[in-house]
Amino acid sequence: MNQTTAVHGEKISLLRVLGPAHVWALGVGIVLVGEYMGWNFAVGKGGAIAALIACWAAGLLYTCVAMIDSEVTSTVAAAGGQYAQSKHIIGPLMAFNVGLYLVFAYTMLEAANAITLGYLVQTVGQMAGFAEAQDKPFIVLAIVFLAWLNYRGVYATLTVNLVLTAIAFIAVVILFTAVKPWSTEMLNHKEILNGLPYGWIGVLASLHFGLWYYLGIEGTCQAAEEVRSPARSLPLGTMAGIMTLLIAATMTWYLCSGLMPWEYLGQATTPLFDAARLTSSTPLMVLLFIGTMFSTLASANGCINDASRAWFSMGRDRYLPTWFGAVHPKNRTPFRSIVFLVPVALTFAYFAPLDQVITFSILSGLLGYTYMSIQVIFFRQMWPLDMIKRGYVHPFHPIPALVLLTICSATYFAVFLGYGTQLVAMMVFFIVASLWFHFHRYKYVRRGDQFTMNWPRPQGY
Amino acid sequence: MPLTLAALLIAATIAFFVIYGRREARIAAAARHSILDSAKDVLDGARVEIDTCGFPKMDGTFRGRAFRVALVPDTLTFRRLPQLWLDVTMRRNLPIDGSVAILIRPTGADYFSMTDRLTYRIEPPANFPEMCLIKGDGPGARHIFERVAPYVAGLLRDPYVKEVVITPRGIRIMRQLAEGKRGDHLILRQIVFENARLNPDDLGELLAEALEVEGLLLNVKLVSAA
Repeated sequence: MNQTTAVHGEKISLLRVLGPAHVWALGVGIVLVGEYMGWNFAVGKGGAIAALIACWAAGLLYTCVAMIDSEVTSTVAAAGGQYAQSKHIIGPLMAFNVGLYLVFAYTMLEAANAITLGYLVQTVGQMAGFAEAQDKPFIVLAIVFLAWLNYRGVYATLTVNLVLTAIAFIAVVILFTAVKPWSTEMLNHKEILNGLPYGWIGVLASLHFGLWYYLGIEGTCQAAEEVRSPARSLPLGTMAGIMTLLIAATMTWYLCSGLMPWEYLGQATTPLFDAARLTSSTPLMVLLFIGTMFSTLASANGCINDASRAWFSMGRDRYLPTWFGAVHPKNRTPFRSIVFLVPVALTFAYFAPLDQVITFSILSGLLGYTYMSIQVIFFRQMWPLDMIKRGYVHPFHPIPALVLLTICSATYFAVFLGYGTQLVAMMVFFIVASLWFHFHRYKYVRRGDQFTMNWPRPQGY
Repeated sequence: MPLTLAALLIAATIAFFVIYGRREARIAAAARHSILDSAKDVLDGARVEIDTCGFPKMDGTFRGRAFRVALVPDTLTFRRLPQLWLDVTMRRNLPIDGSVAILIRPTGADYFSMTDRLTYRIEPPANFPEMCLIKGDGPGARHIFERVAPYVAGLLRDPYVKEVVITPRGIRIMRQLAEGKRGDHLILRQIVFENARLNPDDLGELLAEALEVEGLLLNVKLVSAA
C-alpha cells in the first residue's frame, strides 16, 4: 500500500492525520442542533438563570462521560461504542438495554428535529402570507425523505455539506454580534431577567433540559480511525468540543435571554430563529432560518443512520429477530431496520409535543450515561490497569464515575418533577422489554459469536 | 416586489444547488467507477462492469486461473468510519469437501463475511492475530484450516487483510482498500472514499497469495490420496 499504516489496537489507520482540532470541529458540528432548539425548555422549568446553571452542570456531566468513554474505547479502538462494550463488561441483557437506549435516543432526536423543521416552515410560510401553512405535512415529508435517502444508500454526494454546517455555526456567532452584546441597545437583561422564579428546585428541574446542549458529543470519541494519537486526540478533542459548546451555549443563552422574557423563551420551538425575528433584520432571519433548517436536517439524517445501524446490529446478534439484520442487496443498507423505525419516529413527531419527545430522547441518553458510570467501576475491577493496556487512563477514578452517577440521579429527579408520567412509562417499557429478552429472546442468541473483543478473562472469573 | 425578489433568489439558490449537486454526483460516480481501472492490466482479458451497488467489478484470468475482483462498500459500521473492502476471489472447483472462513476484527455486523453462514468454531492458533474468528462447516474443516494456517498467519500480518475464505468453489481474500472521509461521515453520514484507487502491485500480490493458498490445498488432495 502507498499509505503508511498504523494500527491502534484493532483499528487500521490510513495516515490522513487528524488532530484534536478536527475532532473538535466535527464534534461541535454534530451537536449544534442543541443550540437551535430544545435547550430553552430549561428556561421554562426554572427561569433563565436556572437554565444557565443547568447548562454548566450538564457540561460537568459530559466531561465525565467523555473521560470514561475515552478510556474504555482506547483499550480496543473498534470497541463499537457502549453496545459492544456492555456485552463484554456486564452481559447480554445489559447490552440489549443499551442497544435500545441508543435506538430510542436517536429516534426521538430525529422526531424532535422533524417537529422543529415543520414548525419553522409553518412560521416562515405564514410570514410569507400563506396563512394556511401547516407543520404536519413537512414533518412527515422530512422523516420519509431522509429515511428514503438512508434506504437508498449514501451515494448522494453534495460536497457543500460541511460548508452549510459551518454556516449554521457561524450564524450563531453573527447573531450574537448583531445584537450588540456590549450594549443595552437590543438586549435588556436588566428588565427581563427575574432571578430564580422557582428557587433552587427550579435549578434542579432545569437540569433535565440542560443535557440537550450536549447530547451526542460523546460520539466524537468513536469513529477514530484517522486520529493521529487516539490516547491524546479523543479526550482532548472531545473536551475541547464540550468547552466550545459551553461557550456557544452561553452565547445562545445570553442573546435569547436578553431578547425574550422567560415565559416565552421557555416554550419556544425555535428560540434562535425567534431571536433573529426580534432583531427585525431580514438577512439575519434568513441566516437563522438556513441554520435551523440545516442543523435539524443534518441531525435527523445522522439519527436515522445511527438508530438503524444499532437496530441492525441487535438483529445480527439475534437480540432481535434476525429479519432486521438483513442488508439490501443493491443499496447495501440495513433497509428493514430503516423502514421499521420510520413509523416509530413519525408517531412521536406527529402526535407528541416537542418537549415530551425531547424528554424521551434525554431519558434514553441519561439511562446510557448512568450505565456508563457503573460500567467503568466494573471495568476497572474486572480488568485492572495492569491487565489491559489503555491508550488513555482517565484521572481520579472513581470520582468522575461517582460525579456522573450523582448528576444522573439528580437529573432523574428533575425529569420526575415535570415529566413523571414519561419517566415511569419509559421505565416500564424497559422492564417489559428486558423480561421479553430474558425469558423469550435470549434462547435464540448465539452465545459464543456475540463476543467479538479479545479481552483476557476478567479478574475473579 | 421584495417578495418576488426573495422568491427569485430562493429559486436561483435551489437551482444552483441542484446543478452543482448533480455535477458533483457525476464526478463522484465517475471516480467510483474508475477505482479498478489502474489495475486492469494485471488480469488477462479483464472485463470491468459496474456492480448493482454502484462500484465496479472486474473479471479476468491470472496465471491461467479465473478471478473476480470486486469492491464491497461497508456502511454498516456503527461509531466507526465506513470501509471499502477489496474482494479478490479465485473461482475454481477445489478438491476439498469443506469450507473455512477466517475473519479478522469481527464486529458482528460484517454482513459480507462467510463466517455468518458457518457454524463450527475453530480456536485460532497462537500465531494468529488476537481478534480473529475462524469458522468452518464441520469438524472436517479443521483439517483444511491446519493445512493453510501457517501460510495464512503470514497473510494476516498485513493489517489491511480482513478475511480469508476457502470453499470447494474457490478462494477469497478481502482487504481494506479505503476508508470513508471522516467529515462527510460524521456530519451527514455520507460515504466518500476520496482518491480510492487499486494499486496494480497490491492486486498482483493478492492474486499470487490466492494461488499460494490454492497450491497448499491441492497438496491436501495428494496427501489424502497417498
